[in-house]
Amino acid sequence: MNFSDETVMAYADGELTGPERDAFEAALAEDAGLRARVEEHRAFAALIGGAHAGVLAEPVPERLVAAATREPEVVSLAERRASRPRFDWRAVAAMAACLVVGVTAGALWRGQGGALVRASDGGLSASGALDRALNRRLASEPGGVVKVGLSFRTAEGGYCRTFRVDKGEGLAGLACREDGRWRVRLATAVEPQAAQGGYRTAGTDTPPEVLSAVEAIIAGAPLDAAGEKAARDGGWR
Amino acid sequence: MDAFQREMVELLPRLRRFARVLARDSADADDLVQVCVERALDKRGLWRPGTRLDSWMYRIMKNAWIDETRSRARRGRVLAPAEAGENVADATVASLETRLQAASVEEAIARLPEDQRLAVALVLIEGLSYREAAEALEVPEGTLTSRLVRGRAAVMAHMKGGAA
Repeated sequence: MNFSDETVMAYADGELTGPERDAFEAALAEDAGLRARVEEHRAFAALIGGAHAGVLAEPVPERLVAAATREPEVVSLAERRASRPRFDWRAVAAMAACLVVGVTAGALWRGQGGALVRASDGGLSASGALDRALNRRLASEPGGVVKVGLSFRTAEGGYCRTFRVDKGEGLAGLACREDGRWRVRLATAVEPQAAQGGYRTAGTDTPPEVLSAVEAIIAGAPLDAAGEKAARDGGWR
Repeated sequence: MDAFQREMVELLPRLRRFARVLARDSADADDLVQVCVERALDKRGLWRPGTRLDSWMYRIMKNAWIDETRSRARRGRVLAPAEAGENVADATVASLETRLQAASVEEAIARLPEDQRLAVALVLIEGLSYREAAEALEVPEGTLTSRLVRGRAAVMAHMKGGAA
């Protein structure tokens, strides 16, 4: 039987499995030429594998160790906030505005009940199912088009909440309560996740850019379940 | 230093080796490792614990290298030429014969087209499985194996015939 170079190589590398490997080994037992091909592959693999081996024994330059062990930026949220410029709402609003412009023609911002975000007063506000969820839904409550993640207060005292939409094209973002409406501060496309049983944490459901925005403006810790419920019952004022 | 960083420090020798295959020039290679480490730290939130950190970092390095070669091409700089036997002076490689062989295999690898060179380096030098190497290079596994078989044949031909 004739085996391709690719098959001989895969066998020599231990990458053939199951019936393919069995067939190969049966042929190998009777074919000295095939055995020689495998041996040659293995010999060259060993030779190639030794290339640049000297590098492993060299001391690693100090600058590389320093780069790998640099202090993590997040010592605490408070220190991180203090050590960098204030979160620039204008940039975020511009980013969100770009997204909206990009999707007006599409379905990204439309849930089953119509638009999730509307332009208002030069900004973007939650509407429809998103507005309802931000007003009423607790993070622990399942179901619905919109899932709410973290709720927290900013240094200015206002409330903000993260959200996620997995219906249609996915969407995740951050909205803050201002002047009686939810201003969408940041929104980003996400890969929709199939509905899953069991409990999921905000950390797994919230994209890194949204978490970064939260970290930039949060005062203290996110609200716990009781705090969230009290804030909702108080109308987020 | 946390666990993520400790693991990264342990990987540094292997990252340097992989970088040496990519960049050839050893100073360029270490610059590449530094860029890779910095990007990995910035993006650490995107690494899924429980998956292989080395494969993830090889991917970051591959992308950093692509960025670097593109910007060099824009600046009109020529890539450092492969210097035969550049790494011959490895103190760990004992006899003259072995050193010549190592130089020759490194030269053969350096002559490979980049896509084959990466496949050969990840599987045969860094010891990744075909699937892991395909993921690190962000190509289908079939593409990886065909690059690997061609790259390997070219190295074998070079070593056996001396010509390339």
